Amino acid sequence: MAALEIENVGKILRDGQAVLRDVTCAARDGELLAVVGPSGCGKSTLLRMVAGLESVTSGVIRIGGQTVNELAPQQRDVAMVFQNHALYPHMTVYENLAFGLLVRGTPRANIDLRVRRTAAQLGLEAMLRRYPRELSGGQRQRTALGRAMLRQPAVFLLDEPLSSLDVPLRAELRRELSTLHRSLGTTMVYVTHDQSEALSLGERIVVLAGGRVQQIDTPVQVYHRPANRFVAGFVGWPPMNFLAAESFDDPTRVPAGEGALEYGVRPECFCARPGGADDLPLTGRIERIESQGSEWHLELTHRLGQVLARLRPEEALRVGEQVRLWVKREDLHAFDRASGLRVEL
Amino acid sequence: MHVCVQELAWSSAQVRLLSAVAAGDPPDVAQVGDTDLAMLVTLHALRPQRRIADDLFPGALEVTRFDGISYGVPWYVDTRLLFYRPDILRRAGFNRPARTWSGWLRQMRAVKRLLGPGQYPLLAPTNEYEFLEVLALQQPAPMLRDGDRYGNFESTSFRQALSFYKGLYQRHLAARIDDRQLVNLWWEMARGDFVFYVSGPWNIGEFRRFLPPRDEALWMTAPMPGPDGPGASIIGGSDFVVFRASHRASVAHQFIRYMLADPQQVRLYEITGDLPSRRGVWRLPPLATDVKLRAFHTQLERVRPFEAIPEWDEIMDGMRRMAARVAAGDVSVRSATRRFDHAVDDWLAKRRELLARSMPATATAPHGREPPVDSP
Amino acid sequence: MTRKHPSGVLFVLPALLLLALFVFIPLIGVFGLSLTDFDVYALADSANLHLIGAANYWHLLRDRQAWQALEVTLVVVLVGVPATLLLSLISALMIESIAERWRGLFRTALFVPVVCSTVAIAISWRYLLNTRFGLVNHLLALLGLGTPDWLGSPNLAILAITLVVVWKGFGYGMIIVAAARREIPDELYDAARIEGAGVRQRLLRITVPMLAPTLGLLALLDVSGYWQLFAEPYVLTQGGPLGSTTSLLLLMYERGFRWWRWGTASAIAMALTAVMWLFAWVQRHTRAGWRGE
Repeated sequence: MAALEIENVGKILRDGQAVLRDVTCAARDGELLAVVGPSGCGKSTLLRMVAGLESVTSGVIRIGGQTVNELAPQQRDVAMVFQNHALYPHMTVYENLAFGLLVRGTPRANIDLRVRRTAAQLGLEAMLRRYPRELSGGQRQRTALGRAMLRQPAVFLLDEPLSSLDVPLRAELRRELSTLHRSLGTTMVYVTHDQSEALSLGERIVVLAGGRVQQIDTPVQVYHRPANRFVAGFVGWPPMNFLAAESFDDPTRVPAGEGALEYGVRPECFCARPGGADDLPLTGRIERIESQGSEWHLELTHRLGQVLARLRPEEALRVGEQVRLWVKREDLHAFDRASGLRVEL
Repeated sequence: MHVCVQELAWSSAQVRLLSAVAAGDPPDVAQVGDTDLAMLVTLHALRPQRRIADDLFPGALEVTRFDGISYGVPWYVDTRLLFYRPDILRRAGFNRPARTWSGWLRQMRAVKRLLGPGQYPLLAPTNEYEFLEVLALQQPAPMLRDGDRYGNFESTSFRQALSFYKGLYQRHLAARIDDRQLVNLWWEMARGDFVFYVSGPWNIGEFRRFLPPRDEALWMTAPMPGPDGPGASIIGGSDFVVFRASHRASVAHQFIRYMLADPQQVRLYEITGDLPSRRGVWRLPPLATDVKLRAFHTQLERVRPFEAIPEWDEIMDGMRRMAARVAAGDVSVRSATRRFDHAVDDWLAKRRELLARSMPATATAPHGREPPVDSP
Repeated sequence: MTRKHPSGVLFVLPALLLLALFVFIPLIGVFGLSLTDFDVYALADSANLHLIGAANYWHLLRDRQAWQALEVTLVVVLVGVPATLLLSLISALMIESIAERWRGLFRTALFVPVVCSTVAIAISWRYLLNTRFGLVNHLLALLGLGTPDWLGSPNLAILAITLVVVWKGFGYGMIIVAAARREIPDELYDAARIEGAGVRQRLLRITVPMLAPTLGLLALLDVSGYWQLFAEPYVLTQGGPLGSTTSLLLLMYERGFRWWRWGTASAIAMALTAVMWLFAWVQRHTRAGWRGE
């Protein structure tokens, strides 16, 4: 077990395209670090650089304090779970699990012991003789996880491990992964494009976009204090509404800062009635109501555009009618229009 | 007269002609190799031939006869004799090639001493059976006996021929080479790689084609040596045949007659180097004046026909394979010939059966093998 | 899994008809011929045609030439097929590992022998292998390795034939194996590298087993191809020296087309076919547990 440090890491491809620029982040020993970002942001490349599958153009990667830039993958004491599992189709589950130990020359008896222990941990005992194609998606994923766990690596790298599974299975395995992380206590880096997965799994989250780190913080902080307009828009679903001061009924009551500002309000921060005197009203016409059971998603058109609000169902709300919603001042995010950076009000 | 000519490759001509016969659509006239004649006669595919010329080489005419009826008109003739290097032979101490086997052996040994151990005095390509056929024909007993019903290869006659043949290879007097391995044998001969070469008349033309005129003196021809004196050789060549299915037989005969006339025979020689089948033509220039043709003329008067049966080619090919084994030292002459006789008897089984059915009275050997026959 | 529907029959019917016309019916004909003494006498007069049962087959069992031809054919199959597969595999992996811009050139160069006429190739090799003037012996002589008589000595001739056959055949396998190699996901190699597998282990534990079904198929094709060895010895050696390169098919050709013994030739053809079927059956029933996805 070891900490992972990534310092000022850059990656420039042979054709001159910069995939990563000056990325600095770290996973503490035993931490589960989620790396999230839209596709093409460089998150998978970053993970592959940590694994040693891609070279490092600039910067330093350290595992357990040791610089690993020049080390081959097998020398780095890392394990990786791939998006499509990357199970060897010509090997049984047993052979897949045993592969890493086998090629490293571990004695057979030892391999057998560890394979059976890991299989028991993951509920794969009955599957050991099967081939990957005979397994369900979840079983394949567990096998891939088991293969990574078996060698007890210092750092555990997961590259979108759940993205090939269907939704209910994904939730189930997410829980399992979380439990597993707690019981193993291994440093893990979890790459995903799904912000909800990052929020639910990561102890800290690295938001990556355009090859740069946008924010590194705990899920709570990333959600409630997004460092910039990108993070604010990317994290959370449905996404944050972006408004101008003039969108509100009384622009003069909207707190101002230095420079031109853009305001963000998460859909769930609208209320149908005012909670306090400072709350800001916003009036609009209801265009659409989508019932989600416990809550309604309202699309309304206001003076300057559209917003989406999540509200408790109320009989009074009807499509086509005007409605006034309220936002608490502390739920108001502000971003500099020019730089996109968060502005504290 | 309008004649349509279709060219066939020599190696596939037999198959194509037989297929045409089997399909019932043969040409009117064809040129057929004389060893292929027997099969066509067996198939009753050919018309008997009229006597077209009086001065055909008798040996050539004989191989077209089956039960006394001639089915082909010899067009050009072919035999095997010696091509040799007179200059090297003289250096070895001989003015002309030997006429007997023993004399020939002496000459080859002398030449071998002269050329050195890596060189071979004689070239007789191992993929041709004609050389051994010639040696065997020079012996008194025939290769088949009892009206071509059984093999006679275990006879003293054939064993002597085979022993002589084997000796040539085992004493490294003859190169164990098939002519596919030769890139340009005429050039190799001019270089002195070989001193004797057993081959046929077409090589006169080939030597002149591949060697410059100044090298003309580097090669000469001589008749085959024999066991005790001037030796016989095989007679071969090519015959015109007229197919039974042809509706234009008389025109066909006219055509053949035209092709055998003096000017056409001379022209054939000039174009191809193939030797005219009519003796009269040999008295005309350029045949009469070519010193290298004299040996052929001599040899053609001293030929012995082969057994004209459909199985002959197969038997000769088998003999070649058997002889190669003997020459390689894999098997002794005696056991090889005994085994080969059994094989030949197998091949001739159907023939014996047919002969027995058609003329039971002449079937002289009713039960199995008799001792080999050694007098002709 | 498979639903049976009459329309399926309609789709395979044309193929079946062609197969029947050009394979099954002739095959039955050949089998019929193999039970007779059909030869030039029978061609002349059908009264000379006899049904002789299995006599041709019994004869073959006692025929030294047939046994030798079987041995020759087996040597070419047993030496040639593994050699071809190995060469196909090695060249395919090398081709896949070199830079993209050179790949096409090498692929084409190595594939050329496959599309060239066998006869042309055999003739070229006859010159290359010539004992005294051939390039092969010239190079061997430069290396001080002597000048073997490739086509003149029995053991070398069969080796030379095998060499030419393999040389002509491996390019085809190379293309197939290269395509199969491209189908192996890169992730498997990434995973293996992280797991600690070196180059050799990735080759032996990932590449080769993943290519096994392809190699198995190629083996079947190669065996059936080499089993029908004909043109190379026909052109290079005419079956010699001492029958050391007479393959079964060449023997069949000689018996049939040269000596017009169609009964014997047909029996050889049937024996060839039977062995081929036997091999296909064995191959079908011994395929490994994993069959790709």
